Amino acid sequence: MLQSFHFSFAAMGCPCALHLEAEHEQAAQQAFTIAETELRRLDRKYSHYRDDSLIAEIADLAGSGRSLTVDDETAALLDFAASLHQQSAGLFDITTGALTHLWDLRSGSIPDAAAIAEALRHVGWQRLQWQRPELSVPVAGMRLDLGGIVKEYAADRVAQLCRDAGFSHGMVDLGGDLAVIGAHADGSAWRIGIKSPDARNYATAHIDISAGGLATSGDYERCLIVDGRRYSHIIDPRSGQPIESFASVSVSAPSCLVAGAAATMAMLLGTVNGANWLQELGLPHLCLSRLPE
Amino acid sequence: MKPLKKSPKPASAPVVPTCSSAPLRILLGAAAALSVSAVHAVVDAPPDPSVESDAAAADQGQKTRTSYRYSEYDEDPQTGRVIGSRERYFVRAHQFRLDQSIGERAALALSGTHEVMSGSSPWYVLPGANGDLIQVLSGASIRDTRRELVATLVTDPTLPDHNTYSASISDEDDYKSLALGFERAQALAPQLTLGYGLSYSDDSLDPTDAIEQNRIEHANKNTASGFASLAWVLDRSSVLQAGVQLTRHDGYLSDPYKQVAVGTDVLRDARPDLRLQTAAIVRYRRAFADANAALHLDYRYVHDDWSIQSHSIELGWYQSLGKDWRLVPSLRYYSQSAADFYSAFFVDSPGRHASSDFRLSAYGAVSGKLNLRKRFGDWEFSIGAERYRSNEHYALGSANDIVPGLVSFTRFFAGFDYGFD
Amino acid sequence: MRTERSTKFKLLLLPLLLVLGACASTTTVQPWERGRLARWDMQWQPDALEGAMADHVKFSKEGTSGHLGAAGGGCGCN
Repeated sequence: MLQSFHFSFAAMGCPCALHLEAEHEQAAQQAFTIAETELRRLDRKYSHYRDDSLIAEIADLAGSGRSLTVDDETAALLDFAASLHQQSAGLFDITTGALTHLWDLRSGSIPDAAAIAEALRHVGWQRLQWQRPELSVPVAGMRLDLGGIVKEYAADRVAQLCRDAGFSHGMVDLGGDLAVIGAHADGSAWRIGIKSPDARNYATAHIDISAGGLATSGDYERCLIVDGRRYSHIIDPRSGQPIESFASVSVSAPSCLVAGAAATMAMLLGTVNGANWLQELGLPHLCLSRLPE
Repeated sequence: MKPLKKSPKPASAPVVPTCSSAPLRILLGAAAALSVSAVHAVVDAPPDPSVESDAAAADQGQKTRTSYRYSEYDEDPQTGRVIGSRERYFVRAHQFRLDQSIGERAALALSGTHEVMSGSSPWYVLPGANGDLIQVLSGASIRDTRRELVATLVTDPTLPDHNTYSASISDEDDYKSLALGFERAQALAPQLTLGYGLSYSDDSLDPTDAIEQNRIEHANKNTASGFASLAWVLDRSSVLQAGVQLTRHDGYLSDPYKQVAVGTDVLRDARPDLRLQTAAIVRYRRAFADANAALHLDYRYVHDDWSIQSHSIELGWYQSLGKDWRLVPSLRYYSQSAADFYSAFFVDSPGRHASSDFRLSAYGAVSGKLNLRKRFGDWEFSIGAERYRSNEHYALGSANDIVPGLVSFTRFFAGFDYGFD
Repeated sequence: MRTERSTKFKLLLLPLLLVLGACASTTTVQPWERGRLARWDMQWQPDALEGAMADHVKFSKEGTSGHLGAAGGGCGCN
């Protein structure tokens, strides 16, 4: 008889949870340790807030003329980012660090045009030289932000490591990015409530998933509000302006990574193109928009 | 609550898409390259040596690190007129260190030193008949062993704010020391880190041959010390630190083995039983990313109430050569003024305090060091040499009196560091 | 003698204060821009054992000592 266990913890700057059905507590604890260790490893490697992370090392590379030989894992993440950049005609871009920084969520003010123009000079995947496994960043001040991929990838990794360790029923939740280890022991799917953009604790809708992942991209968790106007945390790398889009997009896919990429892409494309693109993609999705005020 | 509308096509319940659209195939294809399980091996793999821009960051990530150094310290023979042996100190030392991180919460370091000293040491100076100086040294070779153990615990070593607790014990045939220390680093602002700490040491002396040589039989001394420093991140390649250390020594601060020639008598070395010392220190580090090198510049000014002032400046260049080699040349200059009760010898009664210890005289010293390091996977081998010369003429300021006992030495060292997870 | 010494001390402090003043105006270096500062060769003391031995030798043979950290115990070294 399997019991269910829930672990709540913080990792990668967001509230996380591990839901598990296991024989006994020690087994569940083992899965939790696996999850924690893996998340700490990825956080350490890709953090923006550590001076010994790979991201810091890459920032140090910018404008130096040197190149860095990256490990296989980073190379695969960069390849994935390259593919998304190509598919989205430049909308999906992991080099928007300088812009994101400008639209600092905590600053409470909007940046001026000159600052945006300056930041745009340090943005653009095409400015990178990525020839697997060699990376060089010719433009000084440019930096990479893998935040849009790593959290989803981490969810998939934790789910896979738990499966490798013999767990078959459970789910990983990294701040709303979910990866299923396996359906409930009775074979039923995990029922996920999608939060309403305006009422935090109220589920607007439910999505059932029994495999793969579910990711949500939205402006309600992280957004800048100036004079009553919402500025999304999703910035168009071509104009340097926040994107007017859905309140949130949730996508379920064979992996959390794909779900996250699809959700972000739909947000970037905006309400009309985003909805069409999701239709064409054919993945189960849920888009929430605000009515015009 | 704002009204919401659902998108034209809200998601229904299906779990796995039944049809695979062209964009989805591309998306899935791109994600497939990032196989979550294929990377598994990377987790336990040693740090990738192909990361060339920063071979160094890797060795700090290791959970366990052991280090060993062997060194030989050899002082030049005593020159000029001597009574006793010209053969000065020779020290063979073994040092061990174990660094162990205990999760993210703590890091423990244990280091041990075992050194065997032999040779003779300067006792006092006699004036010669024709105005020259005669250095009197211990005749028979002294032999002593020193063992030291230092334990250091750092809590939350990866956080900007962290504490360091240390305890050390040092034991010789004739000298024992027990010390405790506390340090704290605290981020005041993103660019600015405050450091401060206190330490206390309790030392006891039991000189050998005390009765025969008219030495003190037993004595104690204590040292209390405090420091405060500020470190600035100046830009992405440089850091500057400045700080002050205050030290208070009290108890028997004389050297039980040293003597002083006063007229025709030879008396014990006699120093005040209190010494207050202030050190002001500035350290600068600058990385030269293109040259794959770093510059170290350290300056220290010390002032004490025995009226000694000293300046020392040290310049180091840390050069990485390719992925595995490092070459570290460094130069140091030191100069100090004399203690107000120092003299090579005294013609008549000097007052309460008198010392002829060359370490309290006015002199300067120049030294150069070269260290070569080579990595082999998790191992790093280190070999180096230092040459140190001191001379009364190297001191800053006007011409100084001759100090016969000043020391010059050559030091060789070799060892390794080995780190693993 | 005393006054001369304290003047010297002030002269030494002056450049220090100027350097410190200059630092106060530097722009913020973000954590992710500090990769270079985390390098082994940028540490205050990259080689703990060699640093300890070099300090010990100078502590034994010179009239003054001092560093920015907790002080260890003494020794009977001559």
